Amino acid sequence: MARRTFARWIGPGCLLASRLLAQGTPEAPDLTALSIEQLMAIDVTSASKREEPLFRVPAAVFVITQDDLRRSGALSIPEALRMVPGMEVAQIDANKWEVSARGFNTRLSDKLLVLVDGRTVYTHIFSGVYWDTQDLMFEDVERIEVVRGPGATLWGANAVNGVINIITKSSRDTQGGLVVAGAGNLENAFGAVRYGGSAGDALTYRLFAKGFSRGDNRLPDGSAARDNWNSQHLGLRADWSAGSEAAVLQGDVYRVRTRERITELESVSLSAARLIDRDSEFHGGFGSLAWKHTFSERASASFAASYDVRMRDEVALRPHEEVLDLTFQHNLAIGRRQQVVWGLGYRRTTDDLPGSFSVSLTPERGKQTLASGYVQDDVTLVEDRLHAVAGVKVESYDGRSARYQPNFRLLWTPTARQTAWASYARALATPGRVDQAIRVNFDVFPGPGGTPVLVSVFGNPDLRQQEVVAYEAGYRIQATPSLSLDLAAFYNRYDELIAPVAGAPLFEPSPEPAHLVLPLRFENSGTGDTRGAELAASWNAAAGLRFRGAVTWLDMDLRFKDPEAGPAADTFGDGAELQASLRSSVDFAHDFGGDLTVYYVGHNPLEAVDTYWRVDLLGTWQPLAAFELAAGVRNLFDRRHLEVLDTTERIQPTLTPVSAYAKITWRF
Amino acid sequence: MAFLIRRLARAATLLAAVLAAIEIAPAESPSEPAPAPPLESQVRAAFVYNFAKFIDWPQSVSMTPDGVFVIGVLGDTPVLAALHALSGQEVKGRRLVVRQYQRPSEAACQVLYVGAGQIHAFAEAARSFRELPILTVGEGDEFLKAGGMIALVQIEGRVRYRIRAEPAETARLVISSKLLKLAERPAEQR
Repeated sequence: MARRTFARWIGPGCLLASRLLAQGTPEAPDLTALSIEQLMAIDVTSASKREEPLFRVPAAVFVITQDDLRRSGALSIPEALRMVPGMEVAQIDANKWEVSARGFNTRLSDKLLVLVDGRTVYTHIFSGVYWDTQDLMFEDVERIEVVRGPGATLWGANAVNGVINIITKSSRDTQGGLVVAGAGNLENAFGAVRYGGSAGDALTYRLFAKGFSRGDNRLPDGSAARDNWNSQHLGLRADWSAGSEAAVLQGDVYRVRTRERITELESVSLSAARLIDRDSEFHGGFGSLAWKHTFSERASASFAASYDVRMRDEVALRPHEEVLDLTFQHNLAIGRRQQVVWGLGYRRTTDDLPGSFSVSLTPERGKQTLASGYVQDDVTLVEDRLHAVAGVKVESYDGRSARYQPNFRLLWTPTARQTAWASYARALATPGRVDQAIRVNFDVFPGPGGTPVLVSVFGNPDLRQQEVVAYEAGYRIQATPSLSLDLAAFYNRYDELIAPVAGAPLFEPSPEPAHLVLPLRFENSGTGDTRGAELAASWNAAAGLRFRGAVTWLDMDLRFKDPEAGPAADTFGDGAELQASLRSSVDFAHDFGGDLTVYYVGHNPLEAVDTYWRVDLLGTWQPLAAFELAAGVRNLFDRRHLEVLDTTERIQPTLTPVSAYAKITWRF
Repeated sequence: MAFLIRRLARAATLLAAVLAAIEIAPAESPSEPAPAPPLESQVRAAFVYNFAKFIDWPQSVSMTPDGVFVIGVLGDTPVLAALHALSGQEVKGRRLVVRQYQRPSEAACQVLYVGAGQIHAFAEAARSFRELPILTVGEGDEFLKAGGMIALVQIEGRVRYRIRAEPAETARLVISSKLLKLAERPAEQR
């Protein structure tokens, strides 16, 4: 309801999409051939943009449909994102992932924006996403849209390298009951219950509860890694519509517990760095209300408000964060050739970050405001052949002077089966609280005369926004009715990248003993460029046999502006040079389905992670419409690979074992 | 809240006027092929086309010369362009013709589509063609209150429809049970 992206003809209407793509756009699609039921299933919303088939979006877009999600066998969102070309997904331990788009991968990648139904879920503290508390009913997800590249004009802060928008189904489409239950060798147990009902004609709702308990990964010696993960979510969604008004109310509360092994410095004494097992507990929730008013077929406006509370009780840092987010958006068609969308946004984050010796923030309490406005116009230059999109976003944080983020796109449709697009965009990433105010006491070693030397990383309140100028181009072709290809390439120039730079040692009398501090201070010290290409292919080989492939190539060349500052290494985050995946789906007779997915992740030059393969297998059996059995084996043929070697937070990476699970789904 | 949204949106009208001013002039010239109407209009038009299959008109009455099936459109609506694209298709064994009317009194057709801006004009005239065998289709619940038979409504991004049976009965139109079954229930019920 709030900001939906390129809403399109996917989901239950896959057939419809292929039909539309095959037919092309010059002639209007023949809707008269559809039944009333099929017509009723077409999504005609024009929210963030007008309705557009995926084929004609002038950006690098990939959509995970509900069917993709179900047949991937993924049990968490990061696992599902592995299939997306251009995404870097690396598992750290049983409950943590590094997720980013087009490189720069760290646990809290600061260049990726993640939205759930238009609500920003990244934390301003780190400008990253805590994936350990992001969970929802996978059965109630309509689709996950991933736009690589800067989507800054429409989306918001941090959409520098990509935007992930998770869109859940309307409660109108989730009526009735649903029970999911399962268990496996790594999954101790997981389950979910949902009930959808209605009150009168205009109001529908659903309530859901979901929980799981995931066991430990392994350490190299085969012992349990003590990194288990427990999560409980309770949520609701209500949809109301009457005439030209529509509203969506959502809410969710959660409790999540995780464990991890982390190296932590407890004091200045020389033997103070210890590998400890850490228990963490997280609580939080949100409430949101989105309101949409439809003026006519050509214009609509929406307003959304949300309030998030996140409390993380970790040993070293206990962040408490509250986020108020207000957005307004107006879509309108002007004349016959222009589709305009403009909007305003305001976000206020307040936080309280009591720390410890190893991690602390100064000041402990903070407040950040982010005000933005944007306008984008989609102009038809030559009917059905050439479109131009021009947009600009103006953003100001903490009352600083506003900065512009322009965006130009051109879409050319030479024939009904081909499209080519190109774009130029500039985007900015706002420094997080940690970048501005943190102090991490990282390590201690003996210095001259036995004086301890403490290595500390310091935040910097004077940091400027990180910048990217992105040049992108793409080409899509429906080569045959059953084969389609989608190619995107980019060249990004970065500047003002944030990375720590060593400063002159200073003396610090307290805490005892008196010691020297070797400071590393966050500066806008980095620059450089990245380039890459992504290919997605889809082939419906025969009735009931589908192949989906993706290949990603990435080359990062980042460095300090001052060559004296040292080698860049993985200071800025990293990515594998080559990745590929192949998903094959077979539908056997009698409602049996089989899915085999192979992922290849090449050598990661910055982190020295070796090439690894991952194979997932899933079998499904649906004897009755209301009942489904699924069994999956994940990480098959595992050679106990690590996907991450080192994290900036010094969390110990662990090995994901071969895991098998079974699941039943019952609808009533 | 709707009020607030309306206020904010009104602020954009000025901007819209400026942008409209730079609209390339030839776009409006009739010689250039008209751009495809928005998807929603196409879907609405397809609904109208589909409805005809599920309605039986009284045998004895014909509002138009034999051989053609006329869908009339009242007022200016993007649905008109979408319907025009369907001209020439076959409906009930007859060739489909689409006509635009400026006033309800001009209507001589089997199906009359009433644009959102014409509801008042329609409501005023509804009484006069109550008994004519014309299927009236319009937009939003207001249309049913104004005496219309089928209202297309947008619910959750999908186009659905509501039916009021009495005016159709008065007009001696028979609506198939399938069409009735798939209809959204009128807002006032329950």
